[in-house]
Amino acid sequence: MQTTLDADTTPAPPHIAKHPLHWRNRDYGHHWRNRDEEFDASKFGMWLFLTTEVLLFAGIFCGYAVFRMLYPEAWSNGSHYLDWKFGAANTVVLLISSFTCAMAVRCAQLNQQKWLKINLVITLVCAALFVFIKLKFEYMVKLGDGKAPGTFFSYEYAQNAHEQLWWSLYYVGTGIHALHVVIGASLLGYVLFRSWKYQAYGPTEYTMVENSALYWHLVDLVWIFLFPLLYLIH
Amino acid sequence: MMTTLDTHDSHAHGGSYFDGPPGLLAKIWQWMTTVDHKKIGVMYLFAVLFMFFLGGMAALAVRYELLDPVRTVTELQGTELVESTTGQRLAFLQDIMNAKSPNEVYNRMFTLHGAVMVFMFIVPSIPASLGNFFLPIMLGAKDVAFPRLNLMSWWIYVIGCLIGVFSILLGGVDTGWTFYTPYSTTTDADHYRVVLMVLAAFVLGFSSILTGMNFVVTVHKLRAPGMGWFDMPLFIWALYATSIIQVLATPVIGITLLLLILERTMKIGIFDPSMGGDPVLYQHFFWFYSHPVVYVMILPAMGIISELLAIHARKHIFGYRAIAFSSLGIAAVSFLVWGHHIFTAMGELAAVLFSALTFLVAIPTAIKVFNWVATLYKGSIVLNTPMCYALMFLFTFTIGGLTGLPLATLSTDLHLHDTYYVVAHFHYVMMGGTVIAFMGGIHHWWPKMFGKMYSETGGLIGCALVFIGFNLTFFTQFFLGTQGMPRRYANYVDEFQTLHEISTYGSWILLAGFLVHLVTFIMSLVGGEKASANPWGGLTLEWECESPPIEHNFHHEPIVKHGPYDFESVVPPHCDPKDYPLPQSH
Amino acid sequence: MGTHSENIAQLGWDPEDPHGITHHDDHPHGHPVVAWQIQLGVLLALLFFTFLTVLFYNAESWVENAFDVHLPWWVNVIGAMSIATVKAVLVCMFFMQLRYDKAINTFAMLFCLVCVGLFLGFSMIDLENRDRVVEWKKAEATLGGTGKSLDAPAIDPEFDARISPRINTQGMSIVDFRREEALAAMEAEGKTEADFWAKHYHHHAEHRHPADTNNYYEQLGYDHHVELSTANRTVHRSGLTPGLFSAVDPRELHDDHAADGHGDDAHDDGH
Repeated sequence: MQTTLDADTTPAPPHIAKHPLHWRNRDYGHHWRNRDEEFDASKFGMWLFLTTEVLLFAGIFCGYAVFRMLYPEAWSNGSHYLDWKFGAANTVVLLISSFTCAMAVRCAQLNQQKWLKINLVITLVCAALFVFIKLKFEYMVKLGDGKAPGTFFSYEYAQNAHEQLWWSLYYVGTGIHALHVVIGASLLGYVLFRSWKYQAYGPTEYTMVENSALYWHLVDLVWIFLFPLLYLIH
Repeated sequence: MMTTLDTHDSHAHGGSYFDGPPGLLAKIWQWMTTVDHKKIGVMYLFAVLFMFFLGGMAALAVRYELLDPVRTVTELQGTELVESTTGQRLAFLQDIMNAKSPNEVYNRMFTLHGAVMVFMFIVPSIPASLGNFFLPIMLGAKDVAFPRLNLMSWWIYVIGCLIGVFSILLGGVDTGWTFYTPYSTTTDADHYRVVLMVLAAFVLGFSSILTGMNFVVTVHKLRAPGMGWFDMPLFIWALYATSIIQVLATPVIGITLLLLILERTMKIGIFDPSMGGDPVLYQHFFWFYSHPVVYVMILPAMGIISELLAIHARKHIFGYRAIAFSSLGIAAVSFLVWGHHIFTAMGELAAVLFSALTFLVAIPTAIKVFNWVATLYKGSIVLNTPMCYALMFLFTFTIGGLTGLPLATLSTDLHLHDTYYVVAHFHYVMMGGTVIAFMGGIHHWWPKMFGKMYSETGGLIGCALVFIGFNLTFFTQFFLGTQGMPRRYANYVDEFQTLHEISTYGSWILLAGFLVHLVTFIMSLVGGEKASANPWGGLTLEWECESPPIEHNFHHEPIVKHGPYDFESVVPPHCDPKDYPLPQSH
Repeated sequence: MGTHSENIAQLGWDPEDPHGITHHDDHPHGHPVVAWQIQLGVLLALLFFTFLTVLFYNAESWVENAFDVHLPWWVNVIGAMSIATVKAVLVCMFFMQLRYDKAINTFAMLFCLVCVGLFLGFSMIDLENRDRVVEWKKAEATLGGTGKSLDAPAIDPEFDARISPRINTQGMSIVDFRREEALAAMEAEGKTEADFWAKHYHHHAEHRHPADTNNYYEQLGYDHHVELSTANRTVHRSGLTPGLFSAVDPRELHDDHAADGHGDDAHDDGH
């Protein structure tokens, strides 16, 4: 198996090579015994943070399950209001972005600075595309129909008395997920900026890339479950 | 003993951690932006003590209102009969708080007491202050794993507290600290106070998560060379278990409070029965966090007690592994028992299941208490303030724990739930457990944190007053509860007045006790005797460094060669061997 | 703890090093780098599973229509969720590199999932009792839980006087209220009720809501009844508080219909 020792050894361009933020010039925290300890700890910390994210979304999933059991008709109708094609399109977009994100980590590990940036740009484009599809083809259309949460609900052709609850769950779930997409994209944008400006990430200094990527994969994971729950289960 | 491999001048690295740059503004800026876990711990300590004061004031107001029942008195003035109401002692606050009635002032007061004490004081109290300060030192590390995250956690805490205090200044909320729906989504509908208070709790949750994450990683990754998992002090074990709960339970309250805010501002209806929503679901969500969180409150206190009893009795802790594993056991069981808060809202099967699981908590807790008592057996007990607090903990916490069992029993709970019995049980566990241990811990580590000794006389007087005041305040409430006095009522029947009066007088004695402590601490800071590096003869690593510690804690990374409680075989660092004669000399 | 002194010797203490003790393994040994071929393969597998789950969803609906069979509700749920789980495991193992990582990270995630399981399981354990009213409390129980509907008068004027609901639904659910609004608006435009129901039916046919077909026939006055699939439905319940939105308990409604000889599937779990 390849390791970070097989990285590209091309030196950085001279105007960046001396910059304190260039990956070769970065030291590790004074309270760590060595770089690996710090890296492992950061990653473990990130995983702990991801567990909190999972439990946060567990609240949404729990609400979904409880109301599905209480009001199966409303949930069945609600699911049929959504078009699986948009959900599937967004799933594909997120899966591709997850792949390019994993590739970005690989490029940082191997010091392939150009491909690191290309992969990050593709990931960000996918993030934008996801939000665009969500807003333009789903939220805007649904809200235009009056399929809004709670008391904002004004869709006149609804059948079941609890359909506004479905929309509450739908908007809260996908809304919080979309918020996570934006946060993840901001993190990756920060990584892109720093690698563009300083080549800040490389084989010995890619914690930030790795952790942002982990966060991005979690966003993907949540969508992997939200997609069937909202669009396919009826 | 612990070797520091001291190869050169131990004072080469400069003075204590709170030597700052000259100039007041520079000092303030340095404290505000510090990533030093000790400074952050000290800032947390003063912040949580301030919040304790704030919550305590609300508690005193609650007790003051309950000094006598509300009575309508008709008296003859001149030739006219004049009707007047007595006993509404908080009525003078009605206009200040913009409340609709004197009773609502009372409702807001107990809510403020609960919300401030739970979210702003007791959850961060021990882990964020003493934990932040001592966890890295006791592990032999220079800092926590993520120092900048630690600073961020502190500032998030400050922001959360400011939002909460802002809500209080706007008049406060009357929902109870549990924010049960649909009351919390409908009360004060035209005002943002409730949203602000809920937002405060939401923000404070983030602070709690970040501290917990930091501690878990620190314990995993930054133990000194030679320190295995079972060479860690028991305080660290307790903090580790606490942090796991914080990480796993807090996100659920995050989503719950977020939904509550959306419910209140946008009426999304998830918890609103008038739209088909489910208020019991809110209670499940809320208690999935808030039950484990009572163990976030008590576990660090148990850790402190393990330290205090062993050091001040100069005895190896009895059953080290049993205590360590019981901490983890309590953490695990804590996720299984939240249903006992909503016994009356669920079906028989679920209630029986939750009741049985609740009894499980008693097992690891009792293991701890038995081990602590066994530790004291034949120990050289020194009755100083920390030890007195530890003994007080054993007394009050045991009462608190045992009175929990009738509440876990379905048949008795039906009678006792929502009465003062619950209030008394909760305060015996939380105040008689956590606050008492916190006070003991502050006294124990005061010399280390500030480099000054406190007045032992002052400490003991305060301790005695707290003991008397606490028991007067809360023991009476067990009687009130069993006789049927419901909680959260501003008024009561005349028969309860004597007990309520005793309880209120007790709260004043309690106040006096804490004021004595305050004076003792201020006197210690101003003119206290300089503390030696190891005033108690402790063996854990914090007694290895100076009092107060230098910026990077140790001059050199310590290497652990003995357990934290080997008092029988090791002369404590910085101590004269003839003060600590070992039973068998090698 | 007798081996500690030997350990110290192996630790490589260096007083000059600002990091204190330097471990021997500080000299570079590299982190694993996952081959791009593997990652690409995982992406293709994930895309395949996405296709599969969509296919499953459509195939199931097709089978029900084509062969007129009732697939049990769990077929849909189990199918969708098991494929999602496989996808999630792939993402965790390869994209998130748990397969090549320290076991502690996997352990953290698994432990968290146990907690999620407890949370979901125990929160739903009493669902069957949510709408139960204890016999001895019945006299005090009010319709609709708190008795406060969106437009209900304040119970205690002193405390509730300032409740200002966003909308006044006049005792109806929001759904019914909006329908009445729309009907009134159409009448004002001079259209008939039939126009509304035609549109109504059109919308629901578009969204494949089976129950509405009968509703449509009923509204138009036909005595025609289509036997509908109750597949993909959990056990019928009437909600938290039976009869919250209507004066008639749906279960009574069901009995009436049964007496008439044609059951209404929307309220029927017996078929």
